[in-house]
Amino acid sequence: MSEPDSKLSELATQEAAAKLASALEQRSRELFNDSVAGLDMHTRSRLTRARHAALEQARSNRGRLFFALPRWMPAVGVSAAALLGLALWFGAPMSGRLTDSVVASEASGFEDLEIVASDMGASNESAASDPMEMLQDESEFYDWAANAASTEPDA
Amino acid sequence: MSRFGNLSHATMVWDEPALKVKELVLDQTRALNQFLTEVERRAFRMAQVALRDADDALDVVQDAMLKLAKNYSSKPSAEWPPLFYRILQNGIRDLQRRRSVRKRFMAWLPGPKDDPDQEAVDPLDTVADAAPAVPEQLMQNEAIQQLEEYLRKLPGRQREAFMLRNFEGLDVANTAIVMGCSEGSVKTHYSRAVHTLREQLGEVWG
Repeated sequence: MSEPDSKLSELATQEAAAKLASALEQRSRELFNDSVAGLDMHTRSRLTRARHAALEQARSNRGRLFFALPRWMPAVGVSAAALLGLALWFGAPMSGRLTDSVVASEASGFEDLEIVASDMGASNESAASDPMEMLQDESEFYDWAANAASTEPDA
Repeated sequence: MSRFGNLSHATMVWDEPALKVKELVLDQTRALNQFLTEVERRAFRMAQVALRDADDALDVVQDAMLKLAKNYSSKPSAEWPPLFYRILQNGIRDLQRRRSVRKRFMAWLPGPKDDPDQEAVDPLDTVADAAPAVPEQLMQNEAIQQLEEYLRKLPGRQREAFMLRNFEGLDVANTAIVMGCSEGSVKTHYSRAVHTLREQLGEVWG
């Protein structure tokens, strides 16, 4: 057999195989469809019940997802507004008070500093003037004591 | 009067989005119902061929429907077929795995062996029908049984590929999604399945 002949026969074999495969696919599909159509009533009824259960599940799932949102949204909105209101009500005066208190504390600090400074100044003045006064008051005594010590003979 | 009028109007405005959402949910539920109605019997037959047991097949199909409804009902309906068949095939595989484990475990135990793959024979099945079926119907039933028998003899992946592609009409891409493998693997499994079935059934079907 020549080469072209062998190729032709190979192609014919492939074509025949494809036809057979296609016939098999079609035949098996038809048989399967027939078997599906011939299912008994008991099985069909059980499948229908299973489907209804699944649909109920889907309905409740979606209900939870969609209808929960509009119910939750106002509650979330009101809560957020309430929180914001509380924050504004208590937060702002608190910060004001805080500022005032800081200013007040700063002012009182200055006052305290002034008092301390004035006290220190006063005490410094008194500390500086008192010894001079003391020296003036007691000068006669110190003169006498010095004379007495120099004139007194050694024992 | 005007106050109540305004109030009812406000209520209507408030309810309008909820009504739209309700309609949307109803539409999606209708679409899901239609999809499940279309696939439930075919899915049952596929599971029955793979599991050889009607009760197990029903359980697996019911489970697949519930899982699809619970987890994926909000997805676009075009995505449902591959998702549904993937859940179904996973269910079938899980059950087959459990059976094989149970079988191995039972083999170690003394006493009568409980083979889950062995169908219990119902005495009523052996009773002859009052009205005999027509020969064509008998031949049809016989052909279906032969097909099921040879499908069961196929390796699991080849059977899945053949049933999904040929019976359910899924394309290669969706079959690959369902089977969790590449498109090339799907083509290989499918062509091997067709080749084997053609060899075995070709003689029987002429």
